[in-house]
Amino acid sequence: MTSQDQKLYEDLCSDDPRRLAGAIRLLTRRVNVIARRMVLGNSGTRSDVDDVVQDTVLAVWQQVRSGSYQVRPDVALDAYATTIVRNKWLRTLQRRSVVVPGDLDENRTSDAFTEDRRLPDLEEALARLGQACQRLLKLFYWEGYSMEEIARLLEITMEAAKVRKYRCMLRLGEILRKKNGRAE
Amino acid sequence: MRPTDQVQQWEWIEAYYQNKLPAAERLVFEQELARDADFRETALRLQTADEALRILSLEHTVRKTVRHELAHRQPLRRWRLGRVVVSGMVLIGLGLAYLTFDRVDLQSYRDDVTLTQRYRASGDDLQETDLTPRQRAFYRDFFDAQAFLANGQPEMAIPSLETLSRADSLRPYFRQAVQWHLLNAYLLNNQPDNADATFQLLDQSGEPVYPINRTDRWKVWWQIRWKKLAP
Repeated sequence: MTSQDQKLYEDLCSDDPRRLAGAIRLLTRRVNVIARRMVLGNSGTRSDVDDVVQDTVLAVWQQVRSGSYQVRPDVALDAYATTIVRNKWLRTLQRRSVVVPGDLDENRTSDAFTEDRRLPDLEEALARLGQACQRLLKLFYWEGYSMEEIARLLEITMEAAKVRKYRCMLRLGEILRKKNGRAE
Repeated sequence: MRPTDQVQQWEWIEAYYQNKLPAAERLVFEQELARDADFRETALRLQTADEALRILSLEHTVRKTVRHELAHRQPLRRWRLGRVVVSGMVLIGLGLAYLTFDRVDLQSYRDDVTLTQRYRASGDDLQETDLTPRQRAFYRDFFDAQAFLANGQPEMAIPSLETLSRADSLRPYFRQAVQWHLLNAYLLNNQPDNADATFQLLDQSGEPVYPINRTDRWKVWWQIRWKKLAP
C-alpha cells in the first residue's frame, strides 16, 4: 500500500465530513477509471458505469469503516476496488440475463466479500420513523443545524424541539435494539 | 448529580456518550447506570440511535459527494464532445474553403503528353504530316485556348473552345479535353450556368477517357454551385 493509499484509508475512516468528502472524491475518480474499463468493455453503458461507481465507493467506504478491509502492504486499494467493481457488474449482468464473459467470471469472489447489511438495516429503521421525526433528525445530523435553528425552522420552542428530537432518537434506538436482539 | 428534569436527563446521557462529562460526574453517571435499569435502557437507546444517525449522516455525505463528483464530470465530457464537434466543423470548413477558393491547376492538363504527342510528332512546321489541315487547325486552336487560360484571359479562350466543342468529328478523348477546358474557362470568366451545362455535357459524354483528377472534378462541381449561390 502506498502512502497515498494510507492517507486515503485514514480519511475514509474519519468522522469529519470534510476529510471524508475529500477522500470520497479521490476514491470516486480512481474507481471510475476501473469501472469504465470493466463496464464499458463488457456491454455496459456510461449510466451503468455511474451506478457501479456509486455502489462500489459506498461499499469500499463501508468495508473500510467497519474494519472488514484492513490495510495490507501487499494489497493496493485499487486491487480491492477492482474486485468489488467486478462483483457488482457481474451481478448486474446476471440480473439482465446476459452471458457473463469467462475471464470476468473466473475472477469472481464471494458475495460476502462486498456485502454489508448494516447500512440498509439502519436506513430501514430510520424509514420506520414518521416523516416529522426523519426531518428533524436529518436537519440535526445531515445538515448540521443547531437545535435553536431547528426550533425556528419548525416554528416551535427550543424545549419542544429537544423533546421531539430525543423521543425520535429513543424510538429509533428501540427499533435498532430490537432488531439487533433478533439478529443475535 | 442526576438531573430530575426529563430533557436535562437526556442531555446528560448525550453528554456522557459524547465524552463531555467531567470525570467525577462520569462516575456518578455510571453508578446510575448500574443502579437503574430503566435509565440504562434509555441511555442505550439514545446511544444506539446517535451512533446510527452519525453513520447514516456520513453515508449521506458519501452518496452526495459521489453524485456530485460524477455529475461534475458531465461538463468535462460535454466539453470533450464539443471539442470533437468543433474540430469536425473546422475540418469541414477548411475542406469547403479549399474546394471553394483553390483553382484547378490547368498546368498539369497542359502537360498532357497523350494529347500533344501526335501533334508534336507530326512536326509543327512541316507540311508532310499525317494530320489533315482541319485537325491541325483544331490542335492549334486548342493550344491557343490553353495559352489564353494560362495568361488569365478566359474570355479569349472561350470562343475557340466553344467552336471546337461544337465540331462533330472529334475523338472522345479530344472532345472531353475541350469540354474540361471550356468549363474551366467559363468558371474563370464567372459564367457558372454555362460551366454547369458543360459539366453535364462532360458527364454525359460516355466513358471518361480524358483523365480528370477526382479532386479537380469535386472542385469545379462545388465552385459552379458556389458561384451560382453567391454571384
